[in-house]
Amino acid sequence: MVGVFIAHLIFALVMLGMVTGIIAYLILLERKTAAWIQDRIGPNRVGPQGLLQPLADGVKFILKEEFMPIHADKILFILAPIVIIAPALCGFAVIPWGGDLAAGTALPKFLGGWAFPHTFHVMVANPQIGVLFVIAMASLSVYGVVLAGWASGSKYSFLGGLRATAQMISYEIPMVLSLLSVAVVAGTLRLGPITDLQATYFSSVSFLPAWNVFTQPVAFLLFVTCIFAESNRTPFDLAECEQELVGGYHTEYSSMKFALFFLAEYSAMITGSAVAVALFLGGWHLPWIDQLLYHGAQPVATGWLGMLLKFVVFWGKVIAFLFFYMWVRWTLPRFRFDQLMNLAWRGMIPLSLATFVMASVFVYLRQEGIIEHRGWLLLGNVVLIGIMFAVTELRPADSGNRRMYVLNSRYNPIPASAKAELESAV
Amino acid sequence: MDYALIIATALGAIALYLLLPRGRANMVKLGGLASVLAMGVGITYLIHWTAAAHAGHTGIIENLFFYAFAALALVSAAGVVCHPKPLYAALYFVLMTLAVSGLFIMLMAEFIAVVLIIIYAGAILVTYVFVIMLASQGGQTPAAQYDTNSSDGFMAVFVSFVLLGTVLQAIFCAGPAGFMHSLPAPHAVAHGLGSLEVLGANLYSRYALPLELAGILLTISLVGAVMIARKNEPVAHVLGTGDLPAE
Amino acid sequence: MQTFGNPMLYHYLALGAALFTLGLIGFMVRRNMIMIFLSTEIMFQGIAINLIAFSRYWQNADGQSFVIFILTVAAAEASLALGLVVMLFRRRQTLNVDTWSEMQG
Repeated sequence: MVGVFIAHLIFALVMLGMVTGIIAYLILLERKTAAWIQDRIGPNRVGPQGLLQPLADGVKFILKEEFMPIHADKILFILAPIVIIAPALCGFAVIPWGGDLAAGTALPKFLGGWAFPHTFHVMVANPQIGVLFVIAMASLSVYGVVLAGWASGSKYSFLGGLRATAQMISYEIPMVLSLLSVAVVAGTLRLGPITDLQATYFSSVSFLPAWNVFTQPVAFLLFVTCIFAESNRTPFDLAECEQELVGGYHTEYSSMKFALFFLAEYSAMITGSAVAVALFLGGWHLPWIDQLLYHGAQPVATGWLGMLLKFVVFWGKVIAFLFFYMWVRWTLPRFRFDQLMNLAWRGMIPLSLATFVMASVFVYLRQEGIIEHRGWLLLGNVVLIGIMFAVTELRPADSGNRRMYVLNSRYNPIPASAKAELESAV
Repeated sequence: MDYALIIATALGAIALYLLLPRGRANMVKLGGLASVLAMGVGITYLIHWTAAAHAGHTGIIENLFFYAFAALALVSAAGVVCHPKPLYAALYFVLMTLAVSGLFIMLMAEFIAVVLIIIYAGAILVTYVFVIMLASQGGQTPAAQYDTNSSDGFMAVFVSFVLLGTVLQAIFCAGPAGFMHSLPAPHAVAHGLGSLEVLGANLYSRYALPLELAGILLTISLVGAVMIARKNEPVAHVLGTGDLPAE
Repeated sequence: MQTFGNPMLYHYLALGAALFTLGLIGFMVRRNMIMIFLSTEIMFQGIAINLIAFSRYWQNADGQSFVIFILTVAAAEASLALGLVVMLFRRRQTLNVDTWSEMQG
C-alpha cells in the first residue's frame, strides 16, 4: 500500500509539473499560432526562435507595478485571482493519463522498490464520481470571474463579470448533459474505465477505433463548444472582449494578479482538453500501432515503459487539441451576446437533451440484448443530426436581426414625434 | 440537564447576538471572541463525551477532519447570517457548502457531496450572486441600510437558541439507548453504501414515483420561473427598441 | 462493537441542529429578501447532514435519496424565488422585505 501511495504522490507531482510547464509554453504557442494565422513571424527575439519568451514574460509580470483601484473592495479584489486558479488546477486530479499499472509492477529501487498489490489507474485520484468532480470544479471557477468583476468597482469589469456569469451557467447545462451521455453508455463515472473502454475498434469497420468521438460525435461537438465557452475564449470571449469592455473582468488587474487570471484561463483550457481527450478521443490509445504490434487491442494494464508510452500519446493528443483551440480562437469572430444565449438555450440544450435520451435508449436496448456494439450509437447520431436539420427547417423563422434605436443618442434616427410617443408609452 | 451544554449554547447565543449587523454600533470583535469561546466549549464537550463513550479514548486525532469541517461550516453559516454585505454572505454560503460536502464525503456519500457542490455552489448560488450583483453596485460601496440593521435580533436569537438547547439536550441526554452509538467502521459497512449503483437502484426502485414527481416539480418551476421573469413592461426606457410597443 | 476513527452519530446531529438554528435566526433577522432565501438554504443543509448521518448509521441509502429530493426542492425553490425577487426588485428598486407590507392592514 505504501508503494501505491508513493506512486500517487509521484503522479500528482508529474501532473503539476506538466501543467505549469505546458502553460508557460502554451502562451508562446498561442502567440506563434496567432502569428502564423496572421502571416507574421511572432516572438523571435528572446533565445533561439523565441523559446525563452515565457521566461521573459514571467519576469515582466513579476516586475510590473501592483495596482489596486481606490474603489475596489480590497478583500475580494485579492481573493478573486486565488479563487479562479484553485479549481482550475484541482480538475487535473481525476484525469487518467497513463492507462493502468499492472499488479506486480515495482517502484524503482531508490524509491523503496515496493511492488503494487493490485492493478490501478495512473491518475492522482480515482473517485467513483470522477466526471462529476470535473463538473463541480468547472462550476466553481465562475466565482473568480464574478468576484473580479464585482470587486474592481469598475463598469467594464462589472459588465464582464455579469456576462461571464450568464454565459457560464448557460453553457454548463449542455456540457453536463453531453458528459453524462458518455458516462451512461460507459456505465461508470470514473474517467479511467471510460478511457479504457475506448481502446477497441468498431466490429464491422475494423480500422476505425471505437473512440467516443466516433460513437457519439454530437456529444463531442457539444462538449467542445461548451469548453470553449467555459474557458472564455473566442468566439465566446464576451466577458473580456477588448473592443467593448477594455479587458472585461480583469481590466483593473496588473502584475502577478493579472498573470494568475492568465494562468487560470490556460489551465482551464488544458483541463478541458485533457477531459475531451480522455472521454472522447481515446485517452492513451494509439490506434493501428496496437493492431500491428499485438494483433489485437492494446493491453490496458502495463508496466512502467507502457505507461511512459501512453503518457506521451495522451499529452500529444492534448497538445494537438490545444492547438485546435488556438486555431479556432484566431479564426472565428466573436458572437453577439443574444446570439450566444440563443445558441445555448435554443440550440445546444435541446440537442444535448436529445443526445442524452438517445444514449439512454441505447443502454436500454443493450440491456435487452437487441444490439451489442457501441457502433450503433453512430447510426443514432446520424439520425439525430437529420432530425435536427428537419426540425430547424420546420421551426418558425427567427425575426432576424433588428435595429435597436438608442433613445437620447445623437445618432438616433427616430423622428421626434415617434420618440415622444415612445416616451409616453414608457 | 447538562450544564456544559447549556453554557455552550448560551455562549453561542450571545456570540450570534453580538455578531448580528446593527449599523454603526456593531460589536464584531466581541462577538467573534464569544463565538470562539462557544465553539471551544462545544468541542471540549464533544471530546469529553467521546472519551466517556469510548472508555477514555478522546478521538481528537481521528475526528480532526470532522472538527475542522464542522467549525468551518459553523463559522461560514454565521457569516451568512451576520455579514452586512450580501455578496460576502453568498460567498460564505459557498464556503459552507464546501465544508458540508467534505462532511458528506466522510459519511461515504460522495455522490451527494459532489452533487451538493454542483447544485448549490455551481447553480443556485451563482444565480443568487447574479441577482445580488444586479441589485447592488460593485466595488467598495456602503451596504444598504436594510442590510446593516437586523430586525428583532434579540427575540430571534433567544427563541432559536432555546430550540437548539432543547434539541441538543434531547440528543445528549437520551442516554445509552439514544444516539450514543458510533457509526459503523467504513470496512464494516454493508450493502455497498455510498456506491452509485446502490443509490441509483434505491432511487429508481423504491422511490421511483417520488423521483418522477421531483422531475415534474422541476419542470413546473422551470415554466413558472420563465413566466415570472418575463418582462411585461417595455424595456424602451433602457434601450429603445426597433419596434415600438403595441399599446 | 466500538470502533474508533469515526465521529459518532451525535457529532453530526449536533452540527445539523446548530446549522438549522443559524439558518432559522437568519430567516427571522435579515431584511434582505435574498438573505432570507439563503438562510432557508442553510436550514436545508442542516437537515441534509442529519439525513446523511442517519443513512450512514443504518447503512441504508434512503437518507441519501431524501437528500436528492431536498436538493430538487431547493433548486426549484431557488429558481422561483429568484424570479420573484427580480420582479419585486424591478417594482421598488430595493430588496428590503419591509417595503412589501401593505397586506398587514
